[in-house]
Amino acid sequence: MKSHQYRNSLFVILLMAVLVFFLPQLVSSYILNVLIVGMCTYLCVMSVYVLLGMCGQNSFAQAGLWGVGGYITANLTIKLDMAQIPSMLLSILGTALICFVLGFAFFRLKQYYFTFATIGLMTILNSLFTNWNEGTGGAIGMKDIPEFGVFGITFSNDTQYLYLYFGLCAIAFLLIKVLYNSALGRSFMAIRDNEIAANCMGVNSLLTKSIAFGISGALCGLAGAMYAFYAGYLSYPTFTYNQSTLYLVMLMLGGTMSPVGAVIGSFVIIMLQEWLRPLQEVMMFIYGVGIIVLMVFQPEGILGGVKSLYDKCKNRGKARIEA
Amino acid sequence: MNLQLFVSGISMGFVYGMIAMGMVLIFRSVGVMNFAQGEFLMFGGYLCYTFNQLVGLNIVVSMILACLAMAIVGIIFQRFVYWPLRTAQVRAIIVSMMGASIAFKEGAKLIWGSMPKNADKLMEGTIQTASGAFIQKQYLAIILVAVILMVLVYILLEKTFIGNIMQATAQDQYTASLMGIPVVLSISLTFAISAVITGICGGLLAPIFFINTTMGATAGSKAFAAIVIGGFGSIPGAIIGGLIVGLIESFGGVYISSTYQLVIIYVVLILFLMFRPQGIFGGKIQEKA
Amino acid sequence: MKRILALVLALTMTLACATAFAQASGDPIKIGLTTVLTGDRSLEGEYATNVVEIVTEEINSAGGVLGRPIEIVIEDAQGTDVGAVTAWKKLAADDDIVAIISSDSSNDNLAVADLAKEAQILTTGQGSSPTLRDTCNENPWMFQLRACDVTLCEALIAYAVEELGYQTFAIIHETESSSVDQAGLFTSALAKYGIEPELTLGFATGTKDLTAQLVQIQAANVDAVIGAAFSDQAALLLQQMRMIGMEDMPVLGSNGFTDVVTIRLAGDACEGVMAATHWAPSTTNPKGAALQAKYKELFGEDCGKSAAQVYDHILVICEAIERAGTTDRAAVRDAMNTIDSFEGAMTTYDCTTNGDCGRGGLLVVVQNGEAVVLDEIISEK
Repeated sequence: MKSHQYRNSLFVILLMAVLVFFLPQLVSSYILNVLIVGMCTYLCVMSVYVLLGMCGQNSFAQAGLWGVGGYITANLTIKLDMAQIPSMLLSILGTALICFVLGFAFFRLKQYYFTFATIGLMTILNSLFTNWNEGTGGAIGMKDIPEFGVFGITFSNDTQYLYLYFGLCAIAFLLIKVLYNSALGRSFMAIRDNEIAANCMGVNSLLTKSIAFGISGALCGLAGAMYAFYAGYLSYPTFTYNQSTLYLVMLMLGGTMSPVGAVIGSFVIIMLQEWLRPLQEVMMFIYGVGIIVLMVFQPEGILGGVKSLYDKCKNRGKARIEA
Repeated sequence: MNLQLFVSGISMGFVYGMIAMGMVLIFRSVGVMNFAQGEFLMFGGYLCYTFNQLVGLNIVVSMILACLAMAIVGIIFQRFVYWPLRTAQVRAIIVSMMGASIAFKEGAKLIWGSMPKNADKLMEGTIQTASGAFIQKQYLAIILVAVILMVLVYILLEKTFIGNIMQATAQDQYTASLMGIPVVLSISLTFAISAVITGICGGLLAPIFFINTTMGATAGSKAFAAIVIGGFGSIPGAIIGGLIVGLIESFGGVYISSTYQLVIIYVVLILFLMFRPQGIFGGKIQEKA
Repeated sequence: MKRILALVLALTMTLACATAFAQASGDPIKIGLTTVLTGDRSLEGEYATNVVEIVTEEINSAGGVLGRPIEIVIEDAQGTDVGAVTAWKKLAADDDIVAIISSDSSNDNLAVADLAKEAQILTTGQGSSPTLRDTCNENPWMFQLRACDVTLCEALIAYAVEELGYQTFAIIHETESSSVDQAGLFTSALAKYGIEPELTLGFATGTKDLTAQLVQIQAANVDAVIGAAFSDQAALLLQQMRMIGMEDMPVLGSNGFTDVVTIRLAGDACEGVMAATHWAPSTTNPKGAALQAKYKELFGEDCGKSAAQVYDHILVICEAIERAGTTDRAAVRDAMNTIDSFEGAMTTYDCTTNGDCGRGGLLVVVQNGEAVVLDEIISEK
């Protein structure tokens, strides 16, 4: 069953890889830009999935953690002249560590309290990004972040970034799938379903939740590093509470039950925002109303809708056979 | 100087407390934090502006009309954003409320434009105290109206029959419905009252702070802080929490840091969460299996 | 009867053709504009869309550019630099677009600077920060049209210290990029006179109650307060200052303090406030005065700085296209460098040696609810 699942995922990823390979010839650099930034967004939505979909904890600090990853990379590459890959790794580790440690402070209580703490964390991070001149460039931001480079090749066009980042996202997806099927993943889900029962079964909920937060931080850290290299410029208006809520909306739209939900949700909303561009000033209003309508008609998200349709068809077939 | 800080801290504190009280009412009634509460503040302000500046009515009349309008807004909000999702997971309701928050903000912008707006003051002028502090009468008006509202809500919830119905529904919806209590009406009423309280604050703030589409967001998140500090789920806690947040903001801005004024509030929030999560008035937190 | 009809028909057709020759005809020349239509900074977008109507009608009815009508393609930058980049890229992907005007924020402009160089599209930034100026001086495809804030801040301080004789100052600023920049520039300008501000305070955007900051300023007892903030934050600051007992405190502001929106919101609290700015509706510049009159007639409001800026950007780009004689992107960029003193509504533009084009600003003081021009500020290249 497990290897069957992996085979399916690998097959789909391979198909997507082929599509991605030909994409630069088919679409404009504007769409490539949207997709590349979209991949950074996807990783952040994935981080919400690990925390919410698997572990049942709602966090509003992901955009701030994304920023932390980005600013770590920016500082390392600009001020310490570090090479790109080590900076990326340190961003991932750094953000993961910060989240892991914060987890011990934040996770001692019930769900809602953690959520409020993350709202506080988000505001604090945004304020740091805006005002801490030495660390984050303050209100003016950090510019001239070097392009990503490896083995002497410097990445300078969208196609290279597209391929690389797709590869990174695919690896992240597979790793999360491994997590989903692992004992650790199961303990996340046990906590999500019934924390007290999980505790009785021997799951150390504080440690486990902190690990979940740490993994989610790692994903945001990677997204931050990726964005820093691609955009070359970081400033505080990018990392806001509204952005964090966007990640939650994307995951809920896609469906919180599987990593595929994150993929669907982020892709749909990113493309929707571009398709709705002609509406200009009415766009955000329609978007807001759209979210309400979506939740009302399909609170389980797209994946949930597909699943219930699939179940209905299966049951209809079964009933016919039994009759 | 300290008197000045104290008065402005207290009056802002009452505003945060009102918003927090609105949130707690909804939370106790349906078990979900209203992430669009800040937008009620903004909408109330805009409605006050409309009646006062565009239609030309007296400010008191405008505020009363704005209250009625906000009650309707609250009921519509409940009907479309909460009611269809009442059996779904909490996070679906949260996302729906976030969608509503965006829709409110952008809708307000489409209706009234992006230019910040003004409204008349309830009380004009300033008082100068002996120590040289200048206190705007509008701040005092805010405190006065807030206290009156608190007393009214208290009387409503504790002393009237309708209040008992609301409390019953909040405790246990199913049993309440078995007892013949019209749950839908009760919940609608709760949302309406919450919207009215928050909306009035919007109207009170309009003349001193100008109304724009973003005024709800920061006030809303400070209200979250107020709820936690004061005690989750407790109405007097929400008010006290609000006052504390207001005072921290005022005095912290002078004695700790002006640039990081916001950060101070949230650091205090996190400290409370770590060391006294039940806040000041909250009861012991029980986790149900 | 039929002959008369035929004659009338022929005459009508001739008349129609004659007017068609006066109007611009043919495929429109497209110029891209990214502005903020949704989100917190959407006031900018309102001004921009309004003025686009005015300037397109003005240029097209006068025969267009190179005989063709112009069309401004607007994309929403959403108020973040990510959004600004996406909007820019969408416009850049359209091969018909000759040049792009980037939104009113130096942060947004900086985000697209490298892209402009790579894609080789002329981009003009609406921001006015020194960081942007430096970038435009190095990047041949990027131009800053507004006079740099350095000039304005220095001029204001010079006026305050030399003409008005103020010696001690307190600086208060919003913590968003332009205001932080401007606060820094004011401090350096003061340093040239050997003066250090007694107090420098920042407050977050969206802070409504500024009592905490104002009591500190009151206690500092300075000659004048220097403020750097925008529209409603500036108005709040002024109103609360007057309410708290500092009615007579002189205020020197960044350009946000005498903007149309600020004056309207602050009302009486704005009287006597001085600023060095790029635009005032009472400007005596002929094109500027004409723009203000037309804006007021069409939209019932005074023309704001965001609108005047976009107006000038479009005019300058059209001038470059005319000089190039073609819509080839490289040729238009080269033609920009030949513009040595083009009169816009705000100031004169000189794009010859580098990307820092705007040559001047205005020193204004608010009197009777209007920003009255005290003096013109001219900067040397």
